[in-house]
Amino acid sequence: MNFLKCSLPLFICLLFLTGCWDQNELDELSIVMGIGINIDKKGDLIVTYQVVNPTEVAPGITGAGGGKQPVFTVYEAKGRNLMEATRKATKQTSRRLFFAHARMLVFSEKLAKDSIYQALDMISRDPEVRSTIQVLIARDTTPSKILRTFTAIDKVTSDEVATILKISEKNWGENLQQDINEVLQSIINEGGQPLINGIRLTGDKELAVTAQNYEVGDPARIQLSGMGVFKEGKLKGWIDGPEARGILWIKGKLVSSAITVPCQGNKNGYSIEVVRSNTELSANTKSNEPSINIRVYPEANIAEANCAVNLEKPSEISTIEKTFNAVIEKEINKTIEAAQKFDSDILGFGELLYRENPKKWRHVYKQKYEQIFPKLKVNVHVDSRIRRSGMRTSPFLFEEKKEAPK
Amino acid sequence: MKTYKIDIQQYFIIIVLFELGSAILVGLGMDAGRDAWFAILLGMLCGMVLFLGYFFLYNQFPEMSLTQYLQVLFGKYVGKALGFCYLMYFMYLATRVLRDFGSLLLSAVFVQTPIIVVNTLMIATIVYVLKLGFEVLVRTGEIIFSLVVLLGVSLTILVLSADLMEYNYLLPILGKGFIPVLKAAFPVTPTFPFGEMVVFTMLFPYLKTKKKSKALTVGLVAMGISGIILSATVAMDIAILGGHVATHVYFPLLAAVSKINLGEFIQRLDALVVFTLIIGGFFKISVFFYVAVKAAQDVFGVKEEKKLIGPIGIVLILSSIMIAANYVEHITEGLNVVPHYIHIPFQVVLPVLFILVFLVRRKKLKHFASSPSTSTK
Amino acid sequence: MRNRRKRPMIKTYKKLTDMVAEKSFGEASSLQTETFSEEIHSVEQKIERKEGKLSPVLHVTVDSVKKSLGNPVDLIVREFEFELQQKVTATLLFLEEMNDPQLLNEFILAPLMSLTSDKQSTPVPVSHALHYIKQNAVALGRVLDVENEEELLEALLAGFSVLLVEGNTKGLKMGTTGGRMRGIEEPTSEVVIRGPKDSFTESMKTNISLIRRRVRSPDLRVEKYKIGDVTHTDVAIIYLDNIVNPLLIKEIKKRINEVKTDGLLESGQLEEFIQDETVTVFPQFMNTERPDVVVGNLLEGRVGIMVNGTPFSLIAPTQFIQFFQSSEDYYMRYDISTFLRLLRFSVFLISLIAPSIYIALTTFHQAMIPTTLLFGIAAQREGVPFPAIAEALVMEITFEILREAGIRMPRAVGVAVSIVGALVLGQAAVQAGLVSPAMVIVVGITAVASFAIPSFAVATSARLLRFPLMIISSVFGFYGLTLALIVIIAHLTSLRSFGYPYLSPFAPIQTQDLKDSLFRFPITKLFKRPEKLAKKNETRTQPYQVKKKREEETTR
Repeated sequence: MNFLKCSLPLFICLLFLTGCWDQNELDELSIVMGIGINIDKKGDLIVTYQVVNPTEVAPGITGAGGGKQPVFTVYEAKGRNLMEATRKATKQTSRRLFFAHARMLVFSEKLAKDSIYQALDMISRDPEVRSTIQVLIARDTTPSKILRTFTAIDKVTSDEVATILKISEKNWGENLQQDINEVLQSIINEGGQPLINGIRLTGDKELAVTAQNYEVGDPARIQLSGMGVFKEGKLKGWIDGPEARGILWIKGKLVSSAITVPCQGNKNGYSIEVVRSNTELSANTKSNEPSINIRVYPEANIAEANCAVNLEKPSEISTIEKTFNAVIEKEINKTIEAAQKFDSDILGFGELLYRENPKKWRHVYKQKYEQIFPKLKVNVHVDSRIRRSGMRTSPFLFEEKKEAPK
Repeated sequence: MKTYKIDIQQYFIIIVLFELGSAILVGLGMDAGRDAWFAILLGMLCGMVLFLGYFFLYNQFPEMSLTQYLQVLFGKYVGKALGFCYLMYFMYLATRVLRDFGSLLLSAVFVQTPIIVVNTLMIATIVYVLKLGFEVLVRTGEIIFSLVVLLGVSLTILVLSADLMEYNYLLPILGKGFIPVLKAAFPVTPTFPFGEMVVFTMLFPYLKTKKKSKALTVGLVAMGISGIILSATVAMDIAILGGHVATHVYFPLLAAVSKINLGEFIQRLDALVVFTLIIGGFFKISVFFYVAVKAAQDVFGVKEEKKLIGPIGIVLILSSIMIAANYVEHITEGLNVVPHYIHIPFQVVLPVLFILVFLVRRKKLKHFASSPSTSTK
Repeated sequence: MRNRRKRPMIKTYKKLTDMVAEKSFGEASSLQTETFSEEIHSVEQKIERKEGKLSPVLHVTVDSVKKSLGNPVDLIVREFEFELQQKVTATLLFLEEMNDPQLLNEFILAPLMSLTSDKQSTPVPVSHALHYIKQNAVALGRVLDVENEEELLEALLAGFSVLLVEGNTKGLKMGTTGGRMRGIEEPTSEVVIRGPKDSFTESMKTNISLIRRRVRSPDLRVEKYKIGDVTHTDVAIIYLDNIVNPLLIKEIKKRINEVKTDGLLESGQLEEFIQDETVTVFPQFMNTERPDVVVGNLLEGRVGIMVNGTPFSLIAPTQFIQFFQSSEDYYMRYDISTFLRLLRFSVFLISLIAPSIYIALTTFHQAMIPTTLLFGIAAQREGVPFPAIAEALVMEITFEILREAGIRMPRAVGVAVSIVGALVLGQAAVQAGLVSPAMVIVVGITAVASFAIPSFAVATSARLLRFPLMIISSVFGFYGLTLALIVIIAHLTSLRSFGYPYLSPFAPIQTQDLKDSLFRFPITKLFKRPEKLAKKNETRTQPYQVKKKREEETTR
């Protein structure tokens, strides 16, 4: 008890004398929402930070003079590495940069072509940056432009982009959310290569960086655009459109999408809405030349039917299923072709082989995977089920045809 | 002196908390990559074998703690010397956990706070609790246990419902063969945390139980449960983060949980993990601390254990700072030096030696073992 | 009784309690206990005084009484005459307003004054007058002899009326206690929606009767003590002899007997004397003004302690969890009771740590706040001149001031206080940018939460602990907060109430008792009394078979 009594005052002193090493009042922090990294000719990094002005973003704050200041501001600093640039940026900021809420990390295309490795270490090492930060590449523009762009709905660009990514992955399926963990993991995976979403600016690029951008009806917008294919940390090229959707088909990540299927000569006859999909991957590793089997089982609804067919007939549905299968198979095959063309195993086939037969992978495939992958045989099989056709049975085109005198 | 006896339920809780304490947060057996969970199970089995050994000794000296029966086995002087070694060992363990804990906390949250402050605060708390008695520690453990169970269950539900797990990350099982797993499992995983059960040689005499066999089964079950929980947690970490990230972050659990995001509302649950980290660390250091106090009491013949708590606390704070120059040194020691040169002798070699000595001198010792009053007290 | 007086107190103690235990109720027993406790408090004086009998000369005694009491205005000395063998002068002494005038008039004065010698078969000598009156004339239940002046004074002060008869060396004290007392009303501090609406009053007699009416068991024991050299306050312990642990009773008696003080006005004072640990913010006794709560606790093997002059009786031993239980929990369905108990406990946690969590989150762990919420809080913090901890302390203290003001104010002014509090201090402070609205919300939640805890006593401990917790979390964030919570838990587990662990069903875990802790199982499933409390008579409910039987019948 004596020891306690003696030490009690000391502890109280300790409490109050410590100062507050890691204490930061909220009004001493600049909340960084997005980080952009570019590279200049000398090889220095140009780092851009998008910092929120919370008074402008938070709803319903009265008396703070809402709408008079921009919702965010951008700081830019140059440095030989990321940390140097980050700390240099404090020459311009009145508050400490706080990274825990950053949602987007944008690389420039130039940096991506050079190598993304140098930028990844600090981001994954810093205790503040969260592992859920989305990684993107600015396509045909610079990260600094992207981060300066004013957006209309979600006022902070980084927020908007992260949301776009999520929504688009769920509803259209040409993009796959890639956070920093997933990028790192895909680098480390056996024979694997990362795949990073592209992003571009559309519309009036001059207008984009001014606050008027969200005052006009047709502002410059930020748009997702394909996925960048990497090889050894360097950007090799882009996969766009349906080919990009093939990636999600193969990885089994497709949640929902709309796929156009021809019908009776009308190339764009049906629009089929995918509701859920399941993918099974397996590999044949008996011979020295392995092959991959992909089986995709989508479930879908008919969302549009612009031709005169009788959708009440089961045989008609199975015809549609067949064409639908063919369309998806084509998409997937195209994706594989593209990946093989880039010679980059973005689809994780190496990892798949390793999983199926670790011994053989280590002894046989791993050494000559460079040669195996471009020629890898992939069997794609799609077995779809069309479940419903919306609130209507047959399209009105069919009814019209039926009623018309023959 | 009236001693407090722990009942079988409390004994179970102490073992589980002690085993999970710090181990659940740091990546255990991560050298085995995606087979870490398997390495843990292997380690657990070895730990159970060790536990059988400790229990055998307890069975022979049911009323005595390790440092007491050492003096019976080897005579007063050699016994005290060995007891002193064990005292040092227990204090070293406490120091290590304290340092681990302080460093991890520093690198994750309190980047600019000096480590001495963090450690002092922790030791101050433990000193307060131990001053109130071992009983209070055990009962606090009971409350903490229910909290941990609650947190564990809710986190598991959240992780499952957030659908974060990518089971492919766990495949192939034993992809690099059995050898790397064995390498990872030995000798580090059995010694931490399962071999640390050696501290229970000091706590067994406080067990309130009629049937010894029950105490043995409960002990093994508790170890088994904690082993399975640890293994499942590591598997979960890997399934969420992927083998690479899981092996290269300080707290895989923290990283995994921080990915939970349910409806943009239930997210950033790191607070729960930090909370578990702190109470787990608290409990583990407390047990080592108390055992060290007990050992010191026997070795130096101090009547009142409370007098030893303050001084040992101060020693722990100081040594936790001087133990290593930086965290890398500390970790390297922890992975390469300590298991081989410290854990194995104290957890395996010496206990085996004690058993052998006992078997050889069994007849001579018989009257000692049967009458506890001859212990040094 | 008299022979025992010379014996040392402790020896008598045991025999007396035995006697008390034998004679479960009735005047005799309570009187014995009373006299016995007089002994305890003034054994030495007693021995001296025993010699001094009352003077047979009436006016000597009366004068001496007047002198001792300082001739107070409320002392009524009524002289009258009646006829036995001859005319006898008698005096009735009583303190006005402590006696029931109707009783005095109808049952003492009227029959006495109408006494005539012709009614008696054999003439009664004056020296036997007192005995004769006791046997024949006074139509009251509670009539006892008074031996000496000291006893006489005590009887007067306790609200008895005393009859002295010329030529007798004794007096008669008669239970005519009355006067105006507060009636039985609805409880004010423990309001329930469903459940009995009566509550204790300031009169211990009434309170004991409220309990007796609920427990018609011969095993109900009521033992009285007197505490206070000046106030001579009655204290009673109540328990069920066939359930309670005898060691507990022994310990409680010991502790009560050791209380030496001048006066006892409320059970809170007694509580501080007999509690186990002084250095703690947690209440170690549950207090209640509801008789049904006392009875419920008696059935669990606990002991009720009552103090005359206050409606609040104590329950011992007390476990922490009891503060989150309300008597209503047992009258409502078990599901809603369980929900409410969990709610109350979370409310306690909120009122304890909500401001600390807010401080820790906004100054240390901003990373853990969801982004949108962070913007909101950050925007509100913008322009607030104080650090979060100062803001919180100021707001909390302001709230404490308002609350204290609200309680002490007359009801009409109380409204004004709340208007000033809500409008001026809340709204205006926010608009002036002195505090952030989020902080007002946090303080508001904390305040409301602290009102939702059923026990005022435990709410105050949360109030007190809140401040150190806020300070430590402003210095060390969640780390400090967690360690502080560990310290609080350890402290709670170290507490004991009459030797029973304070956190009982949780630490040490008692599986049986957990059924009625934070949860309440259906009453048909609560078979046992609390494990360690009721050693004698563990089972309280037998398995209820009716439903099963009914099912069997219908299937047939």
